[in-house]
Amino acid sequence: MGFATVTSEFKLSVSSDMKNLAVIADFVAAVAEKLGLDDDETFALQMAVDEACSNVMEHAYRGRTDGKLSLRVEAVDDEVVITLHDQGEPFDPHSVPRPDISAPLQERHNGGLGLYLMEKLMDSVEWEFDPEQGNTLTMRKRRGKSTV
Amino acid sequence: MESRPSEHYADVMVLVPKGRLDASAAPELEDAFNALEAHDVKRVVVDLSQSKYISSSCLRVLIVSARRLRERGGDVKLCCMPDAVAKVFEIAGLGAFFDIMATEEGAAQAFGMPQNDAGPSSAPGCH
Repeated sequence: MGFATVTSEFKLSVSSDMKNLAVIADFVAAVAEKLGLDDDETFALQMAVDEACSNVMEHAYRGRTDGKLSLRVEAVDDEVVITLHDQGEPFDPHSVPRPDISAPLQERHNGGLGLYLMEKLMDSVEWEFDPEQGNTLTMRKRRGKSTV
Repeated sequence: MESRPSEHYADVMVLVPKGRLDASAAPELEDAFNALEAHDVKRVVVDLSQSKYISSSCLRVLIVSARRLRERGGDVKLCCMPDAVAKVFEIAGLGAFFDIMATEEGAAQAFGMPQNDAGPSSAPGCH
């Protein structure tokens, strides 16, 4: 049958203050422990979530500290699914060029490294924008198949 | 953020950022580099032994600072990297662009500057 089974769900809501990045990291570490993820999987989740939340704080909320970030982590079948929701400015991932990491340092542009890392650490990274609901980022990582 | 002259090599300054180097830490790291550059420092070792994590925001500060210092004949060299931090450099493909040494002395030595009179004495510290 085509039904996905959600076995666990964890939620956190914080304001868009960068000081909350440490709170978010602790939350992800605690969830990873409850889900029995290994060190590599925990590292990948923590880093991808940190980069995603920093991106929202810097770009969607443009440094404002009173925006809202809602984070949900679910174990769905053999995947961990992370959903990050904000009501900041629309985010278009295609507007951000990814760095060419084979290019010499002197020739690289400075942006896009955070998105590059998220895409490298997770199996899938997708953004959606709805004029009423705001930005929703969904990141998926299959368990037991660490790429880092 | 702590910065101090290298104990062993002339004209090399050592920066020691502490804690999580996430996006909230990037302005302080940038200020530390700006303060050193304002004093015409060209050679900077960043001792990462006290850093648990590094995000793209702080990587960007290191890249931009290295690029600027290289234009002035200097550089940024890194040392004492915990495994979690080393992993980020590896994934970001930055391992080849920075000299990453095991010890502060090794990183300072990589600039090829003369040793201080006292020379290396005790084992240089990764804290």
